[in-house]
This record gives sequence, C-alpha cells and structure tokens, in this order.
Amino acid sequence: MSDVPTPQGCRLLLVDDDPMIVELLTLRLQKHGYEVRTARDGEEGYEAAKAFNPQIIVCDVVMPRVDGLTFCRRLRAEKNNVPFLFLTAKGQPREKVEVLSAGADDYLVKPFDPQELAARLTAILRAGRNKTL
Amino acid sequence: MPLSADEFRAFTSLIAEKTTDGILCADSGGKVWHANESAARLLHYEPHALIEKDIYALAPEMLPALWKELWKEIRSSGAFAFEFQLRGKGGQDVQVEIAAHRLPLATRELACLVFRDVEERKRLQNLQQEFVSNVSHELRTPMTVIREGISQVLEGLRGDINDAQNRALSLAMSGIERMGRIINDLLDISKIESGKVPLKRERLDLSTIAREVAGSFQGMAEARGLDLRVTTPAGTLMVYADRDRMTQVLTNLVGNSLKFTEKGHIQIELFTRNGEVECAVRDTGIGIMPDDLEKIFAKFEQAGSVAFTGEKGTGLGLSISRGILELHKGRIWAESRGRGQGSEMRFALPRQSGQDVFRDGLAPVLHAVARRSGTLSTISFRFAPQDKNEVDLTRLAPLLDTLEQSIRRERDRMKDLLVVDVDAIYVALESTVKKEAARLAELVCTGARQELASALLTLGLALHYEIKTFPEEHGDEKMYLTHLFTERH
Repeated sequence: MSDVPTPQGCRLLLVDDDPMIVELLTLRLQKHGYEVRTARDGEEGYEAAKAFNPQIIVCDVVMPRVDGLTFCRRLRAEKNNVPFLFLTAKGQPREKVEVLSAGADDYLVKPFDPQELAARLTAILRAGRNKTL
Repeated sequence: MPLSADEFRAFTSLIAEKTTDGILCADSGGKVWHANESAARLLHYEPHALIEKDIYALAPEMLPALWKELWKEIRSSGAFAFEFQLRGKGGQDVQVEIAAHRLPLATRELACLVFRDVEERKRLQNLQQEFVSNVSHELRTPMTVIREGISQVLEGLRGDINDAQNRALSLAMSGIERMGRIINDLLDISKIESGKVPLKRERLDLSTIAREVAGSFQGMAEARGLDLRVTTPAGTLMVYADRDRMTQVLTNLVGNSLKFTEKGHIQIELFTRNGEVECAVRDTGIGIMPDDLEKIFAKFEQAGSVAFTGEKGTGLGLSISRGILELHKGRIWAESRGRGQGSEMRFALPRQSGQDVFRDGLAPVLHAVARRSGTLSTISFRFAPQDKNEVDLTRLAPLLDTLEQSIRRERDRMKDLLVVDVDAIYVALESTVKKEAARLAELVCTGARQELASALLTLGLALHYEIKTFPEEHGDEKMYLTHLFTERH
C-alpha cells in the first residue's frame, strides 16, 4: 500500500491575509508532515505557485489586492490543476457554488476543526492520485 | 406635580399628531374627519387634505359592506386589527397594519384607524437581519484563531502542559464551542424571522420523524437512566412540512426534556385533533412556572433553570422552533403544572391538502409575476382511475416518485415550485407560456407512461395533465388561484 498518499513532504501553499491564521495553521500542517509555504494574497500566491510548485493549495476567499476566487480561476485558466481547498467565512449555498465553480476541489467553513482540515486535505490528495492513475 | 386635565389633553394631542403611526378618524358613513401628520405623510397627501375624503377612496379594497362589518366588530369588542392595502395620493398601494378602535364622543362615534407601513417594518427587519448576519460572519475568523490556538496547546503541539492548564483550556474550549452554537442559532433565527428561509415542504409522515429523533437520543437517555418512548396512532400521520426543520424542532424539544429531567420518562406522543396533527413531548422533569410558560419562547430566556447535564444551551432553541412552526402555519406552546411537576411541550400543524400547500407557495410567486407583467404556467399531473373504481392511494407512492423524477429530469430548476399530492403532482413554471408548458408536460407524460406501463395497467390507472397559464386563463391573481384546480368545461 505504498501508493496511499501521505502528507509527508507534500508541498503545500497556504494563502491567507490573516497572520494569526497563517501562523497557527502553518504549525498544524507542519506537524502533519507538509512542507508549508505561505502567501498573503492572491498576487503573492500566484508568484508562489510558480516558484514553489505546490502539490496542494489552501486558500482564503476574501483578501486584499487579488482575492482567492480570482487566484484560483487564474490557475485553472492556465491549465494548472493543483488540488485547491478554500477556507470560507460564510458557508451560504451561493458562496459554496461560487468557490466550487471557480475551480476549487473542496472548501471548509470557518471556524473549522483542524482535524477536519487535515482529513480533507488527505482525501483531496487521494482523489487526485486516483485521477492520475 | 401630576398633569392637570388640561395639561393631559395637550399631551395627548401632541402624541396623536407627532406619533409615527398614521391615524385616521372616520364616521360610520366612511367620511374622514381627522387625520394626523403621519397619515398624510404615509399616504403622500398634504396635511389636512385628507379631511372629508371618503375611506373608500383611500382604501380601494374597503367596500361599504366591509366597512359595516368593521363597525360591527369594533362596537362589540372595542378594537379590531388587520392587514390592509391603502392607496396613496399618486395611486400607489401602501401595505399597512391597521388597528381600528371605537372612539365614542359626546354627540357621535368615530372609528379611529391607527396604521403603520408594513414595508417599513419589513425594511427595518431586513436591516437587522443583515446586521446580525454580518456580525456573525465577522466573529467567525477570530473564533477560528482562538479555537485553533487553544487546541494546539491542548493537543501538546506547543509542548507539554500540566493537568491544571489542561483543565483551564478545556473549559475555554467548551465556552468557544457554545459561542459557535450561539452564532449559528442567531444566524438561523434572524433568517427565519425575516422570512428568508425557503421551506422545502413535502408530504411526510410525522411519526417517522418522531421515531428517528427519539432513536438519536436513545443512547443518551439510557445512559442517564431515563425512559424515552414514542406513541403514535396506527398508520401514518401525513403533513406537508420541511423535513429538516421538523427534525430540528423535535430534536430541540426532546433535547430540552432530557436536559431538565433527572429521573422518570420522556414521552413523545402524536395524535390528530380538530383537523390538526399535534405532537406533545412530555417529561417528568423540573417543570415550568406558570409565569414562564410563554416567556421561554423569547430569545435568550432560560427560565433560570440549570440543566442536570450541566450543559448550557444557546437560549434560542425555542424561539427558532416557534419561528419554524409559524412558517408552517402551525403553533407551539408549553404546558406545566409548575415546579417539579414535569412539563409538556406541544405543537400543532394544520392538515392542509396538497392543493392548499401549492396555492400557498404559488401566491407570492404569482404576485411577483403579475407585478412585472410576466407569465406563469402550472401543470397538474394526475393519476386517475380508468373506470369508476376506487384507487388504493397508498399504492400510488412509487408511481409518484417515478413521475417526480421524470419531471425533475425535464426541468431541473430548483426554484420552480413542485408539490406532491396523494394522487397528483403540481408544478409551477415561471416565464413559461402555455405552448412551452404543454411541450414539457407531454415529454414528462410520455416518459412516465412508458416507465410505468405495467404498473398503470395493473392498477387500472391513466396519467393525465392539465395546464393553466397566467394571465391567459384568468388575468386576475385571485381568480387564477381560486380556479387553479377547477375543471374546465
């Protein structure tokens, strides 16, 4: 079962404008084994996506300069299909539709359970692995 | 010094002039003899221009017979409240809530109509709802930070902690979790109160839901040595209700009973009475003081009791339940013989027919369509016996399921209204002319007839449809709704 994807050494890009969230989640995700790179908005995130070539992206929706939806659409327009999970604050049906149709694979509504975030990331990685097989 | 009679008169006339409510005084013949500033403002008239106007001119729906009824009512009971439409100077309709009072004077008697713009109240309610929803969303992000920070320390991600520290942080964590529940409930109640909750009403068996909810609490009840049971009449108890919302109400009531009952039992009983389906959740718990029976439905009111489970609720559960029942045109209330006497939470749902539920749902949609001079079609699909035989309605359920699927396939639009009756399905399609509706109905029926061929044959049934289009059939909204289900000859 060596094919089951693990977060160990997986390159993860975390994009959020809230430094507190970034600090806390970075530690949490590192403990799970991810190699974490962070960015503060969609613009920085886009640069980091180029330079760091992440295997998964966790991203806030509302951010200054370039928001999460624009960032995600931009990646998809360039045929970059990196697994993408949104962190949203509202959780209303309309917003859910919006983030998914921007090209995201999944989303979590704040305040979320960190265990759930970890579990969902693993699930997305697994699904991605199956797709490419 | 208290006000003298003259001073008091000056005071009351000031209030009558300056209050934000409109006030009109009219005689039994319908002539207006006094109107305050707000009445003129709300109806867009110059001050004093309302004097000697006819009430019939100010309220197009006020017919002389109705005015007579109103007088009869205020003469017998003194006052009478209702919602009505008044007409402003420019011909615009103003939706108002009116309280009519009898004003007996020395030589004559007048009807005093105190009214308030409903739209204004609704606008304020929307503002409030928006505010609550914004605040709740803003609170979510800092809550995420607090929760994650604490849980990292609790899990040892930030190094070892001792038992006392663990205890303090565990308490902080349960406080945060409760805050999360309050925020969610606040969002929920503000949506319910502003009428922004679209109910997904379907024909369902309330007994099944009661048993499901009881089942989910069975473990907890057993652990606390409480007997939890459900009593239902034989057969099913069908109501048109939103499944998730009814589950929410029952979960709330049973959860409350468990919290406030130390020993004995909790019983959920369902029955029908006076054309309504009633549900009673009875317990042998701490009971409710008579003064608190109504208060417990107010927001953040917890009647000062501490739960045996030590758990604190959000204080919004019963307000939410009441809101949900009101959206269903039902009622909810509490009964108890007092402290230590156990309590009984009751709710009642009207037993509406599928046609009534469809009309209820259609009325606002139709109103919006009429306002923008749009068009709308309704299709009634019905399974009818081939000959004069009676049909066993219970055997129709799987056929209706298939038919519904086939309708949804042809028209996959969630906002279209669809109601499943015992032998029929009614659909409303906005912006759909008769020809288009007929095409859709034909497609649906052809598909369903093929799929159900053998079942229809066995049961001796045929599938028919009928289309009524607004404004083609009846240009008038009320007429359209009234004649929605009458056969055309």
